Amino acid sequence: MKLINKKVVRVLAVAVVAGLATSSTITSAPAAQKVFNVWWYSKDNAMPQTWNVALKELQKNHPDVKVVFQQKTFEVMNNTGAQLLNSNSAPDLTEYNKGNGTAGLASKGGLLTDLTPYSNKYHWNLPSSIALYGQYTNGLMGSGKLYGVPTYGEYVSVFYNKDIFAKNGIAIPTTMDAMEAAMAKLKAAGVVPMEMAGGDYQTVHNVYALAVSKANQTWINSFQLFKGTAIDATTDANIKWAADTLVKWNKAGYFEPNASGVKADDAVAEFQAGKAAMMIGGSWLDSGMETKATFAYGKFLVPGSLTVGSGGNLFVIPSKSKNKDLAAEFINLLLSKKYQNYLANAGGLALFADPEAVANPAAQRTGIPFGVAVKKNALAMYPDWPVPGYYPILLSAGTKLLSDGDVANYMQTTGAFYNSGRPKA
Amino acid sequence: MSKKINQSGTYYWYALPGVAAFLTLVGGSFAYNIYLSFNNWQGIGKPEWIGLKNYQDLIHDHTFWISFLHAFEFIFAMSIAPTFLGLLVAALIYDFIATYFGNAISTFLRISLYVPQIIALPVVGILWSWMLSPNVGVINTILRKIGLSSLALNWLGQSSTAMLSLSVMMIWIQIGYTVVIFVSGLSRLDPYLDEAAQLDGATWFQRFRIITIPQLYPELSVVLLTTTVAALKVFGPVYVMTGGGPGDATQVPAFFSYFHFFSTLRVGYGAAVATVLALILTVLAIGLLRLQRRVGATR
Repeated sequence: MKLINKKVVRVLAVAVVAGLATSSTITSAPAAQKVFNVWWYSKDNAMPQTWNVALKELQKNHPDVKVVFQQKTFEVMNNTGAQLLNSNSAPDLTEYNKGNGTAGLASKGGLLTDLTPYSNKYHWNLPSSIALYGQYTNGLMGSGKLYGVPTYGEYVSVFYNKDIFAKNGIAIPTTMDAMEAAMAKLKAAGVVPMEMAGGDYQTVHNVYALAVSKANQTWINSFQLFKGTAIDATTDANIKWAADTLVKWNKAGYFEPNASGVKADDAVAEFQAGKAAMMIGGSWLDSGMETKATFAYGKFLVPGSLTVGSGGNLFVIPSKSKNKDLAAEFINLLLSKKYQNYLANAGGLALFADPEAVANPAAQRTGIPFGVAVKKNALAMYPDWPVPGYYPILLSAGTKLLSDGDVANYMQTTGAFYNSGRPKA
Repeated sequence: MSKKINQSGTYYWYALPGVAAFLTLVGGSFAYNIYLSFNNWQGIGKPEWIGLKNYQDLIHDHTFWISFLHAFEFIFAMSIAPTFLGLLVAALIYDFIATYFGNAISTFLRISLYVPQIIALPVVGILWSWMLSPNVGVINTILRKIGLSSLALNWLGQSSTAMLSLSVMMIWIQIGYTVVIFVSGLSRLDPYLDEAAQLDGATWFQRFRIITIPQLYPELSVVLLTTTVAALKVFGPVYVMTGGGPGDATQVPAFFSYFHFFSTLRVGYGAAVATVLALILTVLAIGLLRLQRRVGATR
């Protein structure tokens, strides 16, 4: 009898413990207030600054809605975005990376809402060169249904130190020869001609910036959108020329020493401290440059045909969004003249701002070269878009290229990865 | 008799939550991972069964083999070197520092050595990346100041030194763990043996080698097992510091698997890497446990 009691007690104890363990995972449904979940990446540049103001207006127009903002990072969404969008914690609206490996894949998997009806309803009338970043057919960017909308642009150009240029009598180079002559002159004068974070994204952008300076839009269509003749990336002349040139510049001492071990933050800080004449960098560095540069700076496009750049990250509405209409209303706010002009004045690269509405000199500084690139239809997208997983390969191979100068190895490593990753015809 | 069996039988119920958690969290995930390794899958949509194709590709993947080579190099940096150094430091702390400088100093040293274990790995990574930065980093700055410019290398930026740099960092992290275990092991030992040997004229090193080390076998085997397994599945330091680069100079299996899971979205291939890694770890762990039991039995 006693034994049975003991046994019963034990079994009961286990049952209680097991019950406690499982019950904690079952949570009751929250009270039914309408919650609008928004994600985007950075906090401290013109874009989120503008979006926050717009978000306040949205909140004002819909007092019954609780707006919940969460900050994500580019890397997190790049690596696990599809899984997040596919989960039950998917937001109602999120910033998302454009390209076949991210938005393309998600659209193919049915994770994104087709925005065409909203585009018609609100008369967005996006120009085709901007809409293409949000259009995907069978996961490939360039045409088809509209799954995302860029509300700003971005591009990679050369930041230069006006003081150093003036002191050494150097004019803004407009050809690659003039660029190399300028660097040789600076090097001879004991100035580091170019800041270069070879252990970071700068190496990826620099190689591509050089490659597209030799390319035309047919090449971009093939390399990025897989239209026309396929590119063999192990032997492609533009990419090889870019890799050769990077190595040549490195050997000539145009980059700071040990470039392959330098991280982007360090390189930017060095440039901002006036320790180098130039730096190839993205427009996302603009606001930091404005506040931290200890000298007058300017920007010019890498000499040549095309410029690394595109419409900015997309805003997408996940299929699992519970407030699609509200999300579209927010996108519409961002595309309005009011917020496009606000963005431009905050120093962002607005796509549809009125030039006369932009008074801020910093905004002009970055906006004018971008306008030139847009006008000559020279935006060449970004190097890592065509195939999933290309970026880490380009980075590690680019770092190695700077450390050992082995162009053949670079072409083989990155080219084979590209060739095997491109969609089979 | 039957009473006894019956009584102990009820204890199995207590294992239920643990077993259930293991089966769902570990066993289930592992089985699913093995299933995925036979598929071509991009993480969304329907997996496509392709049999052993991923494993065939793996055999011919140069990076995969390089990554395993690096994992074994990490066994030196995370297991062998920290065990050896940890044993030495623990003995010094226990026999000399505690004896001549008092417990306070020895406790302080033990805690200091353990601090790297407590600091979050991303913080450690940023700290070391900064220290190892070739032009502005503190290590190279000091080397240049004391006239050793030739030793101020591009630590993480070239293949020849990237692995070495990571290894030094790992030794710095791991040594705290081994020291703490060995010091606690030393305090467990019977002091009479040591004193008797001392009276018989044995030197410190003789006593350390012949009396202390054999008595520390249980600690040694635990430390070697845990650190070896940690070395083979190392991920964090590589992720934070080098991303496997330059080239594939610091590529390791866990990062290689992650790379295919999340970057190339060849989830099946990443799963195949993870499966092979899990198999090797299991075999190795069983081997080490067997060895431990055999050593324990002969003593």
